[in-house]
Amino acid sequence: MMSIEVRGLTKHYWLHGQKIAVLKGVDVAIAAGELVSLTGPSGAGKSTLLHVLGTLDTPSAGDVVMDGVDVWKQTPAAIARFRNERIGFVFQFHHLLPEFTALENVMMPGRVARRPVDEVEARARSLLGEVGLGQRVEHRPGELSGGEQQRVALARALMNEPRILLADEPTGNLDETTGRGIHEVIERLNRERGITAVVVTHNPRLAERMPRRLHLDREGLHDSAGAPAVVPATTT
Amino acid sequence: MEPSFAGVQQAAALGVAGVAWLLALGFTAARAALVASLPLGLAVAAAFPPLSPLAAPALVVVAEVRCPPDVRARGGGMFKRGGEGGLWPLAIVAGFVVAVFATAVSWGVATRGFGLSGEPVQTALAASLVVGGLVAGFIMALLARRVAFLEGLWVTALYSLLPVVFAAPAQSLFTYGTAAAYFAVILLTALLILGLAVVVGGSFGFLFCGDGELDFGWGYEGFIGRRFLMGKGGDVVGTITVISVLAVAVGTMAMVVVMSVMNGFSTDLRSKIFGANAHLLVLKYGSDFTEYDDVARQTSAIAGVVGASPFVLNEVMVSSESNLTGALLKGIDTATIDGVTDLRKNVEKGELSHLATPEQIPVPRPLPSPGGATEAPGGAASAPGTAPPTPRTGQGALPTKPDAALDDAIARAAGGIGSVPALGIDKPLPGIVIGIEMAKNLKVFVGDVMNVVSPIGELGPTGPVPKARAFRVAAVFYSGMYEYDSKFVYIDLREAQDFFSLKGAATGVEYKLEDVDNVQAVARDIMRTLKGYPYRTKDWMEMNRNLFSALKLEKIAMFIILNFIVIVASFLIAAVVIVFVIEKSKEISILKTMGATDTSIMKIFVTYGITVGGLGTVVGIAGGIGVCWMIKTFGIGLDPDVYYITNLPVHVEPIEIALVGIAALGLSYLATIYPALLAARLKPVEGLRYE
Ligand SMILES: Nc1ncnc2c1ncn2[C@@H]1O[C@H](COP(=O)(O)OP(=O)(O)O)[C@@H](O)[C@H]1O
Ligand SMILES: [Mg+2]
Repeated sequence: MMSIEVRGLTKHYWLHGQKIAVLKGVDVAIAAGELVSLTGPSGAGKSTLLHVLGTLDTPSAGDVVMDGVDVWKQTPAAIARFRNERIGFVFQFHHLLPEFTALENVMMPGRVARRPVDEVEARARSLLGEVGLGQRVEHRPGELSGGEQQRVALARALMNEPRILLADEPTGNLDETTGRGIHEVIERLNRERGITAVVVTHNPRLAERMPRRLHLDREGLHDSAGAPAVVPATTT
Repeated sequence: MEPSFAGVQQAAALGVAGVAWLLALGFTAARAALVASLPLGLAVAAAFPPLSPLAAPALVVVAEVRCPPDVRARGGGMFKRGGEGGLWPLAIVAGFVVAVFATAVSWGVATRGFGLSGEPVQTALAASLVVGGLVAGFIMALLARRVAFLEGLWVTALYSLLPVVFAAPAQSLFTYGTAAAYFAVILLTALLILGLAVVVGGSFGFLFCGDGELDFGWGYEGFIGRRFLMGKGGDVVGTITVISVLAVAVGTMAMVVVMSVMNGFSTDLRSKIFGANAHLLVLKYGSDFTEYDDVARQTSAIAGVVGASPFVLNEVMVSSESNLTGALLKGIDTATIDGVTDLRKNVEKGELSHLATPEQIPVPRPLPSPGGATEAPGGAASAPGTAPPTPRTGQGALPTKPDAALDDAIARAAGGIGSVPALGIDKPLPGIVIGIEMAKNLKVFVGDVMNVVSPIGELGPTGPVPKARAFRVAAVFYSGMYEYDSKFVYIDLREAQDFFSLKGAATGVEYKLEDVDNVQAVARDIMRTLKGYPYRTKDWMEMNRNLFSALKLEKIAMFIILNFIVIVASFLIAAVVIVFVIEKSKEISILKTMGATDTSIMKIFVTYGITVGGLGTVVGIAGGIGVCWMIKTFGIGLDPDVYYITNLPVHVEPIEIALVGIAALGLSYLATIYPALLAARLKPVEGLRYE
C-alpha cells in the first residue's frame, strides 16, 4: 500500500530569465487505495503536479513524501527504482516506443527492472490478453488504433504491479465509449488490486465516477467539496 | 649528454606543457561562460589561446558571482558537482595523485624491479598512463558525479609539468638522446594517452556508478541500442547507420593499408640493411686489433650470437678504364662471412669464393662483334695490340694459357686510368666483389680488371704516395640498396691487411644476432666476456640511427595523421548519435518514466555508437587486409629507377592491425560519450510535453 503526500509544493519554470510560477504552495495527501480525479482548466498545472507526484520532475520547493520517505533525498538510482517498481504512468498521447512491438513495449518496465526475460514476457502476454489485445502482440504501435495503443500503454503501466497509477488525460484523445472502457479498467484495478490512482481528465462525467475529486485552478488545489485538499494523512 | 641538447629537450617539454595548459584554460573559460549563461559565441571565443589565459580566471569569478538562479535551482554552479556543475577541484587533486602514483609505481617497478633503462621504460610508463588514467578517471567521475572531462584536462595539464620539473629522468628515457621534435611528439602522445584514459575511465565511472549505485547490468540497454540501429520502421538497417559504418570502415581501411605499406618499405629496408650489414660490431681503440680470431672465438658462443667474422674497412678510390669513383672497401673473411651477412646470396654474377682463389676468376667473354664497340670504347681502342680473346664459356672452360689471359688483362688495365704497379706477372691478380650499380658505373664485368687506390699510401721520397693495386672482378652483387650497390667493394681480409699495411690487424669483428631487437643485451654480454676496454661495441641502431629514427618518427606521424581520418569518422558518429538523441528524446523520456536511469540511457546510446564503430572497424580491417592481400598477390609496379624496388611492398603486422582496431573502436567510443551523456541528461518531462 502506498500513500503520497505533498507539502508546500511550488513549481516554477525559468524561461528566458523569466520566472513562470505554475504551482504555488500545493498541499495534498492521497491515502493508499484512493481513487482520485484531477480536473482543472488547461494550463493550470495538472500535468506538472502529476509529474512531481510521479518523481518525473523536481519541485522548486516543498517535499514529496511517499510512504514516509522523502523522495528527493534519495540517490538517483533509488528514485528510478522507485519509479520503476511502484508507479505506473498512462499519458494522453500513449507514448509507446514506435520501434518495438506491443509485446516488447509492455515488457519494457520488466526489462528495466532486470527481471528474467521469460517471466516478463509471460506476464506481458497475459496483461495484453487482459486488455483485449492478445492477438496483437507482434504489432507495432503504428499498426494499432488510438484506443488499442492506449490499452497497450495501460498494460505497460501495470507490468511491474505498481502501487500507484498516474494517468494524465488517458482518454483525451479517445471517443466517449473507448474512454469509458479505459476508465472502467482503472476503476477495476483500484477495486480489485487496491491500486492508488490519480486520473487527470477534462470529462466531467468521467470525473463524477471517482470517489474523490480534486480541482486545480489559479487559486490552488481544492477538494471536490471545496475544502482544502489536505485530508488527514492517516493511511487505512 | 651535451647541456645544449638537454636544454632543447627541456624547451620542448615546456612547450608541450604550455599546450596542455592552454587547452585546460580554454575549456575552463568556455565552461565558466556557459555556467554563467553567457552567449555560446562568447564562450567559444574565450576558449582560444590569446584570450583564454585571461578569460578563464575572469569568467570563473563571473560564473561564481552571478550564476543565474535557474542554473542554481538545478544544482548548477562553477564549483559544483553533478551534471550542471563546472569544475570540482577535489576531483582534480584525486586524479592527479592517482596519475602520479601510477607513474611512480611503474617507474620504480621498471627501473628497480626489472632493472630496465631507456626506451623499455617508456613502454612501462605508457602502460601506467593507461591504467592510472582509467582509475583516476573512474574515481574523478565518482567524486564529481559526472564524466569529469574538464577536471581530466587539468590533471593532464598538471601532469605535463612533470617532464619539465623532472627533466633528467625524462631525458634518460631516450638512450641515444633525441631531437626536440621527437621528444615533443612523444610527450604529447603520453599526455594524449593520459587524457583519453581519464575520459574513458570517467565514462566508465559514470556508466557503472553514475546514479549513486554500482550497476554493471547491460541487458535491455543493449537490446534497445541495437534496435535503434534499424531505421524508423524497425525492420531494415537505417541509412544513417549504414553511412556511419562506412565512414569508420573507410578510415580503418586506409589506416590498415597505409600502415602495412609503410611496414613493407621498412621491413624491406630492414632486411636489406641486415642482409648487407652486420647487427653488431666489436671495435678496438688503437690500431692493433690482431687478436680478432680469439675475440671471435670467445664471443661466438654467447647466447644470441649467430655468427662472427673479422673485417677491415677503409675508404678508397676505385677506377676502371672508363670511370672512377669513391668506395668503401671491406676486407672480409670468406670462411666466416656467411654467418654474418647475406653477401653470398646477393651475388648475381661470378662467385664469392673466388676472392680466396683469384686464379679461378673467368676471363671476360668477348662481346658479339656489333655491340663490341660500344661496350669497351677507350680502353679496348687504346690497347689495340692485345690479342683478341678466344671464345670461352664460363668457369668450365678456364683459359688454357692463364698467363696469356692475364697479360691481356693487365695490358688493358694499364691502358686505363691510373697505373698498375708492377706486381709480378707470375702472381694472379686478387679478386674483388663490387655492387651492381658500381659495375654499371665503372662499366666492368666479372673477370675485368679495376684499380683500387688507397689514400693511406706508402712514404715516398716526396711524402706519402697513394698506393694503388689492380684487382679482377670476382663477383657482382645486388643488395637492393642503392647505397650499398654503388659504394661497397669487398676483397679478401688478408689481401686488405696487406694492402693497407695493417700488419695483421683488423678493424673489428662483426656479428649477426638471432634477434636484432635484443642487440643491447648481447652487446653487454660480449663486453663482459671481453672485459671492456680497449674493446667497444657499436650496434645497428647506432650505425643507422638517422635512418631508423626517421622511419620511426615517420610511422608515428603517419599513424597520427591516419587517425585523423578515423577522427573525422568519429565526428560523424558523434553527429549521428546527437541527431539520434534529439530524434529519440521522446523515447528517452518514456524510458525514464519507466524507471530507466540516466546511466541506462547512456548505455543505450553507447551500445549504438559502439556497434556502429565496431561494425565499421571490422569491415575496415577486413577490407584493409583484403586490399593488402591484393597488392601482394597482383602487385603494384613501381619504377625501380626511382624507388629501387620493383613492387609496392606490403607487410601486414598483426599487432598493428590490433592497434588500429583498438584505436578505431576507442575513437568511436569516445565519439559517443558526449552525445550519450546528452541523452542521459534529458529530463524525463522534456520529451513528454508534446506529441
Ligand atoms: N518545461 C517547461 N518550461 C516552461 N514552462 C512550462 C514547462 N512545463 C510546463 N510549463 C508551463 O506550466 C504551465 C502548466 O502546464 P501543465 O502542467 O502542462 O498544465 P495542464 O496539464 O494543467 O494543462 C503551462 O503554462 C506551461 O506552459
Ligand atoms: Mg496537461
